[in-house]
Amino acid sequence: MVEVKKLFKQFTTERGEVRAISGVDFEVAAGEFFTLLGPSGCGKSTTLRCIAGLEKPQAGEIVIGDRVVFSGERNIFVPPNLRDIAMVFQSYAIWPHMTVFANVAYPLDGKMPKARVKERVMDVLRTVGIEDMASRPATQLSGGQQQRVAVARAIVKGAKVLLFDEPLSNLDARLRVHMRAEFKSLQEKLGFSAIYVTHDQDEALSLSDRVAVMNEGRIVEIGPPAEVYSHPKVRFTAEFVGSYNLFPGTIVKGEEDRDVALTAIGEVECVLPERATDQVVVGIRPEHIEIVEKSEDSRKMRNVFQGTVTSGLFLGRVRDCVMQVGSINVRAQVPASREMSPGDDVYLHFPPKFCIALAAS
Amino acid sequence: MFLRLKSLLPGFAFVVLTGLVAYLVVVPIVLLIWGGFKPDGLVTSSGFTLSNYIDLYSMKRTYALMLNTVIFAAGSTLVSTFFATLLAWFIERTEIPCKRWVRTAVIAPMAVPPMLIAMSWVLLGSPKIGFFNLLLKNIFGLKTAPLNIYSFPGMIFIQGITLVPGAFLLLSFAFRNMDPVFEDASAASGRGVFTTLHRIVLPILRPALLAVSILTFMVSMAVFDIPGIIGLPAKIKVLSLQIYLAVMDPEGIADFGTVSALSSVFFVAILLLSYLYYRQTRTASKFATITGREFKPKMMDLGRWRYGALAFVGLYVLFATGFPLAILFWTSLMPYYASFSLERLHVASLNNYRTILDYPRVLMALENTFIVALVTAAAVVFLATLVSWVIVRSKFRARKLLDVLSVLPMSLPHIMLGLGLIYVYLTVKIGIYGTIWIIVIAYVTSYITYGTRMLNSTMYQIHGELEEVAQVSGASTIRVLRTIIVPLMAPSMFGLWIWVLIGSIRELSAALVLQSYKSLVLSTVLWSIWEHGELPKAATLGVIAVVFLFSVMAVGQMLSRRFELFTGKR
Repeated sequence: MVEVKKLFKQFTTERGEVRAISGVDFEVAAGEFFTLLGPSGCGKSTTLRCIAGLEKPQAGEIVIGDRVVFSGERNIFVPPNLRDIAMVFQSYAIWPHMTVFANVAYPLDGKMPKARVKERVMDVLRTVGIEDMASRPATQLSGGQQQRVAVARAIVKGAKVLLFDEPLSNLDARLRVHMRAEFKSLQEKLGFSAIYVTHDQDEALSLSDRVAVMNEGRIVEIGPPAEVYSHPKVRFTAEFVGSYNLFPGTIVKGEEDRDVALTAIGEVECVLPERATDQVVVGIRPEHIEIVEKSEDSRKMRNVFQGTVTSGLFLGRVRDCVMQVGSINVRAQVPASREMSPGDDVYLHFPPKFCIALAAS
Repeated sequence: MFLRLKSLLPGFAFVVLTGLVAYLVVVPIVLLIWGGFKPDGLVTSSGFTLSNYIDLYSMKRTYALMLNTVIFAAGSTLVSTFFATLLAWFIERTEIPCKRWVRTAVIAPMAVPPMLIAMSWVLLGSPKIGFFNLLLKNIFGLKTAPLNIYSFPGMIFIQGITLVPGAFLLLSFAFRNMDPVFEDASAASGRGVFTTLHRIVLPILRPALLAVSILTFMVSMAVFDIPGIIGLPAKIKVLSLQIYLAVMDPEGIADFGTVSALSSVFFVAILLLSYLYYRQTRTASKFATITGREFKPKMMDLGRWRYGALAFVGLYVLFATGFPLAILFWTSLMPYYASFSLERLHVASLNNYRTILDYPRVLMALENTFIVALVTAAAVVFLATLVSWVIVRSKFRARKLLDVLSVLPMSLPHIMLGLGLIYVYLTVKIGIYGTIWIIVIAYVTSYITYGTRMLNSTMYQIHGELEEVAQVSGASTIRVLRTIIVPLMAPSMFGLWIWVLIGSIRELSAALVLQSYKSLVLSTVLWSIWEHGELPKAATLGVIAVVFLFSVMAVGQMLSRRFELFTGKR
């Protein structure tokens, strides 16, 4: 449905040229929920705005449907109002001088008879659950209600591609979770392609069919949420999506001729990287580390290491601990019921299937 | 192909807009400067000479003129800044009683044409006929009049007073936006009110104070109304008056060459000042006191002194506005000029008001003023909205140029603008020379700066995403302008319209230089009546003007409150 090829965009600021996106490539299929995830300044919003036509890239190509809306080479640029897209902004951008109805009807004004407009608008308002607010002035809406109006306005003209620019970041946590679910069901029901920009990984992981992790103007990794979360291919992804304990290692031949990573804390059996490299970074998520019985049997198990607790913070659901294992500080999340005090000796088990080894670069 | 053409349209429109503004602003300036290099000052004649400049700089009176102008400007600035700062502090930072009335009383005089204030002060302070002089002579049995308004100090005082409302508005903005947290921190550090005032408050406000002073100085250098009315009989000449005299030389042929040279020097000086002002406002914004949080400024309790403060303000209002308007009204009731005395009360009548419209010149002047003011206001609002939108919202790289062009007229004294336009329309013969339309062009040009600055600030407050989502929703540029921008800008556009309306009625110097027998407006006919010594008639017209302008101002205020549409701020 949407193809983005080799997109380049830079801005001229007081400090000179700033490269916002350098060579971004991806495709979004019809009906797919695709998220651009990354820290502030990584270029995700700029990419979205280029697809919308609100920014003009320097080079590359953007195709929406079967129409080339931007081509640097062929000097094509279709303005935003002529692209088959709709957009939901972070600030909702509800026009304060109009009612809810007028806001939602705006994309249809002049394009169909008034009766049909009314029918369609009320239909859409019903879909998002605010049909009884149609005549309310826009200034009398709460944040959540404005959010729904913004969404209603975006779906009213039946655009095939919907762009979302961090639409939930202005809402409180509870509302955010609720709206997340609503977005997902709306997208499944109406079948549009969604390109969603966020820095919040919970949103990215829960909503998307595929996630593109971005950093410094480039896409670092693309994949389904499970992949990106459990088997990140690149260090940045590992550090950005959830948290990882990371420490350097070298691939050597271990017991039974298996490849293991030799690290400062010993041999770690792990899932090896796709490309064969010697130097790696070994990682395991805090929540995957298990505390095992201090016994001789345990000590003989693979991937068991001895450590000393340096701190343990009670967080309600879990206990967040930092342990000293050899020369490395390891963070682990253990059930809150487990008592941990600084100075305690523990045996940590790193299940091999959750240990990853990334190419060190 | 059609899409291609359509996509060129915005660029084309931008070029047209910039071209129009450049034509209005730059052409008169360029012709004026060019004229300085011509032997006879006329741009169409051949030859290039520096003799105008040489003559200018070799004459002693040129330097006397410049010195006079600088002293006049400096003095007016001091007077104006002094009162404006005190008043702004009282109203924004203390618990002075009757605040709303006080504020209105300080700002309302903006509607009064400065030439009327000058005329009233002549009626109050002239050695021969001034009311105050006669009063003081009577009370104290003096032989000679103690006050002489026809003096440098007199001129400075009046000019300073008329500049107070403008300076007050700017300063009260600065006072209001000073985050009280700074004073709180000073108190928490154990410092008292006085220390806080002079070690924290004043230094923080200093950049703003300096900026306002520079601006006032610039304005004082360029004004004509008061130096025109008072300076002529007082034989005190400042640059603006000299230019006027040279252009309106009764002997017929004006010395355009020297005048152009003089004007060019003047213009460059003010341009430098405006650059200084620009730099200063940059500094002032670094002391940015607007934190974005909502806060209530700290009000100082004046205690016993609050009535003293009120009395001070009351006296100020009395002398700045009360007495002048009173004497004006009194004079309008007299069949011939006579100073106030109880005996004369029986001659007082509204006769002048009944007969004023019988004078054909007056009637024509009023009609002309009506047309000029309405057309100017509409044109300025239209132009400023487009320019402002392009400057703030568009992505044209050349929009900085448009910004600079729109600020240029601020440095152009109106009398010079008038002169420049004479050159333009004597050269570009489209037949508007000597009509009211050349006056309209002068006014529109002079209001471009204020208009764009005022609308810019509102335009910045309108979130860009409101426009973007309209585009994404399928609206063309025109539709976005019509359905989103204009409705949200409407209150400011209306405020601007009222401001320009009032200003166009008040304006004197440009109309004076550009006048002809058929393009008289209210200010020029008033000037001519005054020059002919018909004081009561002048006063009558003056009172009518003041009443009308106050009404416009009041209605404008009321309507804009009613009109209060949302600006999109969250």
